[in-house]
Amino acid sequence: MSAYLIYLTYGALGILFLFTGIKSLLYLRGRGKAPSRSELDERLLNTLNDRRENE
Amino acid sequence: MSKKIAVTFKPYERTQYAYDKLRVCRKCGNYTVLADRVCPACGRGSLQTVPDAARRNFRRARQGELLFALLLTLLAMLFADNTEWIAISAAAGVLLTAGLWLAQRRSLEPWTRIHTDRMFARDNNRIRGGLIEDIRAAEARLQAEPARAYEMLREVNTLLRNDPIRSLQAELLQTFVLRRDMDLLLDPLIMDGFSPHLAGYIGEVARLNRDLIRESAIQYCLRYEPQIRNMHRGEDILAAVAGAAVRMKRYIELHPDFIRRYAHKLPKDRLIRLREVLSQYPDSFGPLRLEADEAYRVRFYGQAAPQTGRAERS
Repeated sequence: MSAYLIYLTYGALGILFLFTGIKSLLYLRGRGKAPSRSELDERLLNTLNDRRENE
Repeated sequence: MSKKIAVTFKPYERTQYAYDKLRVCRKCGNYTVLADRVCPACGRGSLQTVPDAARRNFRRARQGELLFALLLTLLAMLFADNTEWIAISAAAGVLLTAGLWLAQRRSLEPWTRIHTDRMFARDNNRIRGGLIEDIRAAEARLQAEPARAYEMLREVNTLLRNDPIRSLQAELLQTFVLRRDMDLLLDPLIMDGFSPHLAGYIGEVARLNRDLIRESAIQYCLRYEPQIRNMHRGEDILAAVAGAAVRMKRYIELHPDFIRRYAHKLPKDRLIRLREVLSQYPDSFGPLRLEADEAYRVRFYGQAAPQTGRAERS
């Protein structure tokens, strides 16, 4: 039984490797896709003022 | 005509971005632009800026991921059957978790902006609802504290830009005694439709602080010139705007006909300024120059003007 436990170690390390790798990649890739502050401002103003002025 | 009231305003706090004014409550999720700390909806001092709230959400997500990575490391160490694998698991876990932490740290600012964007998209209705509540709060003070109501509407107008809010502000401003030292705003009040209150306010601003008369205000006067002319002292409003416009050569170039139409009503200093600018460009602005010269002759010499039209300025 204990001989099979090492596979859990391999599995945990494998998942850890994949998880940290994918997450790190996503973080670093997201840096280029982040909107600038002025784009954020513009988007918010557009969404807030986009509808019919019937309030 | 109702009597105008003397008021004082707090100076308008200008921010680089409109959303810098927006606050969200950590407890109830209400959005507002009228308070910095205490939430008007739940009364708790838990307001924060949206980027701060997004940063907080992001920090929680980051901490969860780091915990998950450490948990996997512990699991790997727990099930390792010898010291060598325990060491390998520990080293791999520490290295990979440190790598993830570093990646998180290096992308903190961009990801805060991404989370802020997601918050804006997700909470669009809630933001709008919060701003409408802010307007209601301002309307509740219209009678008792009109100056405060104006200040509140001015804040809401930073984000929610529509004619009803602008019109209400212009109407309020027309009930106040305006002074040169007040922190007056004009561009944010320019509407799509015609408002006699706004036209009256433009006229007052043109007299008090002509630097506030910019292209949008001039365009507004051009668009609604017939309606403004029909107002009580409408021509005076238009003449004040034309007088403010002659402070810059660009406006003279863009709107020579408008200025020409009101040249005869320009105040003396504005007329002199106009002629000074025109004298720098002897080959341009023919009709405007004629009108300005004529207005100058009439103003300074009466109808029986000398032929030269050139007089020493006192």
